[in-house]
Amino acid sequence: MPLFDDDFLQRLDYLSLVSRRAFAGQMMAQRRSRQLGSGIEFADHRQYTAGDDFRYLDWNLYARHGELLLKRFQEEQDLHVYLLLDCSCSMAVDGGVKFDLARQLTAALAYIALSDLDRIAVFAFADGVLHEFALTRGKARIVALMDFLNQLQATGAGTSLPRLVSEFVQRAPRPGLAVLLSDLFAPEGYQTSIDRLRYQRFEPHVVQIHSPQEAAPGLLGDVELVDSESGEQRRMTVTEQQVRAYQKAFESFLTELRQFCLDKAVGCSITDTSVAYDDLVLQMLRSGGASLS
Amino acid sequence: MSFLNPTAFLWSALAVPIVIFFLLKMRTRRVTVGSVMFWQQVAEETPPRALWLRLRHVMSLLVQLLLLLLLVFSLAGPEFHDTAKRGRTLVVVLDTSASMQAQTAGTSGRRFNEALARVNRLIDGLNGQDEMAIVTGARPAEVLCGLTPHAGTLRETLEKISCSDAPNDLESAVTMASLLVRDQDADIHLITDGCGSQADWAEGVLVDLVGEPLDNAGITTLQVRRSFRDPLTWQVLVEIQSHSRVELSGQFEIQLDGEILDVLEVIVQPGSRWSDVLEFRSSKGGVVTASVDLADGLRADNFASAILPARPPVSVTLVTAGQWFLQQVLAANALVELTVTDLVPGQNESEILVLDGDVPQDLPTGPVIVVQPQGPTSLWNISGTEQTPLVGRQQEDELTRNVRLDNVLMPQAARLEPLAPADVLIESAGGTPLLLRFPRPEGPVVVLNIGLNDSDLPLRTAFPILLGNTIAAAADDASELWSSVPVGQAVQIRRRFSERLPEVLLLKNETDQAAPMVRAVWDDESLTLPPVSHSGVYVWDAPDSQSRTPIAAIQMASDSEGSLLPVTSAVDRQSTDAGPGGRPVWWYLVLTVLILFGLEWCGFHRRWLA
Repeated sequence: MPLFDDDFLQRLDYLSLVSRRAFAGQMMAQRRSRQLGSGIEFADHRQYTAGDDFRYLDWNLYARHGELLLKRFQEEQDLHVYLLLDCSCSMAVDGGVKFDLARQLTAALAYIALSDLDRIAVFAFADGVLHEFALTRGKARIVALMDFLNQLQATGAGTSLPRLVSEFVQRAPRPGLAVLLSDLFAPEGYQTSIDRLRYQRFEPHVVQIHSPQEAAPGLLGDVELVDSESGEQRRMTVTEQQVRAYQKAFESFLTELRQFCLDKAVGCSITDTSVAYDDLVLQMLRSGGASLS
Repeated sequence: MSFLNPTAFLWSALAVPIVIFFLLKMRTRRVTVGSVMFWQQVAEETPPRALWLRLRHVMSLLVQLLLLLLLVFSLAGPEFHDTAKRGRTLVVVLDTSASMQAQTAGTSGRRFNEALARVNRLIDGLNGQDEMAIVTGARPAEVLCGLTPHAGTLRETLEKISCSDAPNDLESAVTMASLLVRDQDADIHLITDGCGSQADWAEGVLVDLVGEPLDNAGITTLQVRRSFRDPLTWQVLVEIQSHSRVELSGQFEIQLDGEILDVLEVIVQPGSRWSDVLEFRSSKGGVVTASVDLADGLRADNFASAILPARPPVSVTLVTAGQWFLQQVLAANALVELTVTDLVPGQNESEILVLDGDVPQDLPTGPVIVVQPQGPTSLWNISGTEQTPLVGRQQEDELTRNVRLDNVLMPQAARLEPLAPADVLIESAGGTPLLLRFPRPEGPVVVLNIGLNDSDLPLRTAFPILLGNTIAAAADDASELWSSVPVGQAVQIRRRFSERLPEVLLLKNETDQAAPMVRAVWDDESLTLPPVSHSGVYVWDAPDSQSRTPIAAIQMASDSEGSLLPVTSAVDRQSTDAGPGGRPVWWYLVLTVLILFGLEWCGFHRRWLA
């Protein structure tokens, strides 16, 4: 079954419409910037100084008061949305369901952003940036983006978020919204990387994706566990007691992530692969609209 | 030790696949996970394992092989040498008498149920070479199942056995069991409550006692009869025997066809007997039921029934020239519908004909009473008179019951010479018959050869009694005792029935619907019942009518069964059991297998030990 079919595109349209209606004024695109410039919305006056463009002189005011004042306008800027897609091997376990959902989410978020005249870029990473879909705008680019995503494979080496962030901040032309789609199974952790994104004036949003088997493993008995990224092997006799301990540890991991994002005012979505991507997008927009806007 | 089925050891080959599957299972499953960091955390929290836990896989294999070994061993049918050499022969004598219906102390079950459970355990203990027979010990003792090694047949027989109301006859049952296994080395298992039987048994009889000693009292006698003085009055004799160690009290109630006649407070002292005679008046018959609500061990003997025949009126025709005494005595009899005439009817239309003085040469058919005959008939001749006769001999008979004519003054009596066989019931010292009976085929003839006009007999109380006896006898309705019939005895009932009975009657127990039908034989005079095993009122349903005729009341009237205090001692039976607890060896092997299987499954597959 193809990852992006006609039905997927129709659902993207629907998502785009729903996001505009439901989150008008809160979304990524068409937002005022703090910069004054050549927009069409009046913002303020200032004294004319030599060299200013005569076209912006307020002649009506000059006729009434004899004072040369220059009209200033609010400059409109489009938002830069960076989608950081985890392509490490850990995304390919359990049949690659995590990677599929991550790609669908990437496409959906990109489409919404492109529909709102924002610019998007996609960075596929593992232990660094592996592939890049360059900054682009326009809805028509969604097809190219889907082709790009289709060609991606979760075959990267171990996840290294610090290296990703280092390369990403160098490549990103200007700050924007950075959506990190990953299982966050990174030995070096995610905290310093997200902090660095914030330091670099990006707005991070974390989407943690895991499979139901990772949350509640059905393993019992003697098994040899193989780490998909590092290849590390571990022989264990898994008991029900240990399964319960595992579930507790995993839940603790998610709780820490949630608390970290809350403390840092970072948008956070945690999901397993049983949730449909469109439901997840709507859920993200509802819960993270403020941070996304 | 030997084995009944040595070929079962071929199943040991299953050890090969078990080992193969074990080795396959030992190959660790390889699972790729997203990250092992969470499993590392778990491993760090888990304490290091003991050595024996590391060897648990090997232990699991050993346990599985042990399971297989035990299973194969049990399939092979191991036998110890003493039982393997010869198959055991058991005869179970099961006491099914009434006392086995007693509740087991502290439980809701009966002694009989406990006895059945013990027989079942003995059946469980049989192996392929053993044989068992079942004999019931209630009267009459029966061999219900001959020697058979088939446990199914034995169980099927056991399911059909029910507890009866009859007294036990364990002696006969044990004798029967001994004959059954004559010349064989056999064990006789007597399973009884030990009540109402002998204290000691012969060697070889293993006594297995069930139940605990209980206090009990029960109705042992219930008899009804019509009064001799008054034809409508009837009396009840009831006796309650206590076999209790404490005083028992309760209400005694007597009913006639469900109608309560009297209620008495009864207190029965330990080991004593309470009895009373109650008197009632009614021409109606029916089922007399006595019950007493005592808090004792056996309920079955707190009820008893007897049948009171109805007293229908008797039509009597008196042919007299005006004998006032005779007329008044007959008119005073409540059962007599009297017709007085002065001509001898050519055909006797009434039930009894009474002739006073004049008699025809040929007496009419049917019962006839002749008072002071004045002439000869075809039955007797008169050859003069005897002056002032004195009573020389009086024979005990239903006619002379409660009658003494010794002091009666008689001026004279006609010398009757019987021409046909006759029973001379009262005879003068001179040999003149004063009261005699001709048992004719067409009806008895009773002759009272005493003059009523010149003797003082009409002034004596003996006169109405004698006439009442005579009428009752002529009407075939003597005032005999009607007692309830004890269970387990063949009885012959002589009674008049208003219905015409067939030769063979199927009687149904109206009190106990579960009791089997009883086949009774009627020979126009008496009804013969075979021994029945259940007490109650047995009725006959006429096929062409809706009427139900009570035929007999069978009662659990037994002193021996009323005692729930055992007199027999138990004899150890361990020596005959196939194994400890009465189970065969294979049963314990399978039980061990199940326990080991549970331990292995919980310990290794559920990883409790890990």
